[in-house]
Amino acid sequence: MKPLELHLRAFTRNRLFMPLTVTVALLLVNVLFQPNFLAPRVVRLNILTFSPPILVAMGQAIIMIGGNLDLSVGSGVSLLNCWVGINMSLQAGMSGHNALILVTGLLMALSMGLIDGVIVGLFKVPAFIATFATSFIWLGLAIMIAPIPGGAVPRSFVHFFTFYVGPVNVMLLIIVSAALAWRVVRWFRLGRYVYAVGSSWEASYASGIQVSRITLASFALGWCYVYLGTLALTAQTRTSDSAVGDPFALNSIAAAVIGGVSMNGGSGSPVGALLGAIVLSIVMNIVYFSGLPTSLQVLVRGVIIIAALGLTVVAKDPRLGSERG
Amino acid sequence: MSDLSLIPYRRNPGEYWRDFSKEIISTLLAVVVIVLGAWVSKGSADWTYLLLRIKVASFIGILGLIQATVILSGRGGIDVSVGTMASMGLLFSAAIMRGQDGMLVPALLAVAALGLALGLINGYMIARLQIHPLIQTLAMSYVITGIIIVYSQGRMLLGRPSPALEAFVNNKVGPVHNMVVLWFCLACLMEFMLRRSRVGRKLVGIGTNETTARLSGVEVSSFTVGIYGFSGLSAALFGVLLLGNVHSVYLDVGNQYLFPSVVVCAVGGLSLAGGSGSYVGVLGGALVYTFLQSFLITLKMNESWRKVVFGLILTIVLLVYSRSKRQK
Repeated sequence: MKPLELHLRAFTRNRLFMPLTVTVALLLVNVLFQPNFLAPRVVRLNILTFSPPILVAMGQAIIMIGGNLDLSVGSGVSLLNCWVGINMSLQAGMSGHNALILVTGLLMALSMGLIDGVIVGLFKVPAFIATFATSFIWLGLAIMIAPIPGGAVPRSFVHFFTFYVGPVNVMLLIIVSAALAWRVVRWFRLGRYVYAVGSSWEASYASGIQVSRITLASFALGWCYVYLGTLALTAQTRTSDSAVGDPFALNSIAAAVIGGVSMNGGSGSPVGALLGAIVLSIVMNIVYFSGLPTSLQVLVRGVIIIAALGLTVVAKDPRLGSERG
Repeated sequence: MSDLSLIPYRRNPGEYWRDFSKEIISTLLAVVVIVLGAWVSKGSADWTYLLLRIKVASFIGILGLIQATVILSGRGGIDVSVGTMASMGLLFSAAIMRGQDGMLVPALLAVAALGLALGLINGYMIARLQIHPLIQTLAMSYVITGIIIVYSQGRMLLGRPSPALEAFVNNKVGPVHNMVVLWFCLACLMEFMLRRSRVGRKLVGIGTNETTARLSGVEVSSFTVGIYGFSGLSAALFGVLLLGNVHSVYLDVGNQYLFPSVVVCAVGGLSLAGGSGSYVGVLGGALVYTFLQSFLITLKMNESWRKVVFGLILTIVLLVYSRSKRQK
């Protein structure tokens, strides 16, 4: 066989092949519906709008690779957004205070991840119900911090995320380095163990991996990504709102699944989730620009998410199309 | 399978505790909450008030029974589209009924058919395409919200419950509300079916171990499709009952029952991994939930605090039950 053919086959067999193809195809469709899609101003805007769901989906992907999932990321985004938006000071010369707020925000994100991780990893409560329960705690706290939408973030904070280093947007840099960070983690034992625990909890336990610690670590790491996503979101909305995180819970999981992360854990990568999140965002874009009546849009989005999930699963495993069990 | 459980078998007290510990815990919790409520506010122990709260509990409890059936089926089974399904049932049945008794049966049939169809789609995606139940039903709830928005956009929301429906939901048998009687009967009937009927044993079998169930000749995927179909159908019919209770049409009335429907299952000792638990426990869970809520309201706790407290309670209950399961 020719080397080229081998490369091609390896490429099509790659887990990222499907999501990548779908992303490119959807990009083309989007250009069709929205002719100025490639204009610099629109690209800049889209990078800003797409990045929060991308980062949250990457965090969700890490948790899912570890064999769990976290439904509370949605309310977590709301809580972090409220904390940052309400407490940051707009006055000049308060950078010390603002830095303190940002650091406490990170600590809050980490502790939310650790709490979920302890309940799921140490007490072995099924992840979906445990994080369903904690999501109400985060949401209640968020409403307590910001009963009505309000607050603001300083200009410098927004400028940081929309800043350009040469031709490259800072947001893009953050996403790329977030993806690279996972590559680095995979070189170490931690990364490998997350995959191991995700694919078989019992086998990992039997081979002496400290399973609950790895689960804790995967949750903590995932929530760091969620925090980054929240900051990007806050830079975009420039205010705080306790309902802002609502769609993130489902969308992040759907994005990860579309991007090839298995619901059973142990396979996939945050880069796949990144592509999945882009696919979802572009679909929303297309629905918006296709001129459908606003009332139809919610329905169409729901149907498309179901269809995308179904197609992804069928494409991954042809046997599933037929009777099983 | 069912023959074995018919063999009379004398249990010692320890075994009773092992089998029914969760039910006992949830019943004790209910008593504690009621007593606490009575202690804090002198009016809380008033009989009419108590019966009224139990009527409120009956709505949460009936949806809890439906949710429990799905959770019992295992593999992370949960149906989070029941809330919007109920809203849809309420909206469409009101539109068909328009306050006429003659249209009650057509309304019920139409709503049931729609709920069944959407539920079967859920089941198909979950059982055949192996999509996680939570994701599928969450996406379905978006679809249903979409349907509701499309329907209600730019029109007056017409419709009222018919007099017969309203009478059924609000009347009493002696001192007890009809709804409460219906709820208790349903719980007992479903409990009996779960323990003694073939369908019930299959449900437990699938929830406990899917592979074993399949090897014993249960058609797991068709059965799972059926369970989600049942859940869609009965959640839509539950919407009709809600219509009788709220008298007029609101768009989002069903969704506030979603969180309670899961909580009452957890508090009632249903294993959220599926396969074990009882409907009677869920009944107790609904009582605990309702009385706890009224207790917190008496304490003048605002909504955000109530959210935190309920989240904490659910978390603690999950932790406690996970401990007791491990010792077993």
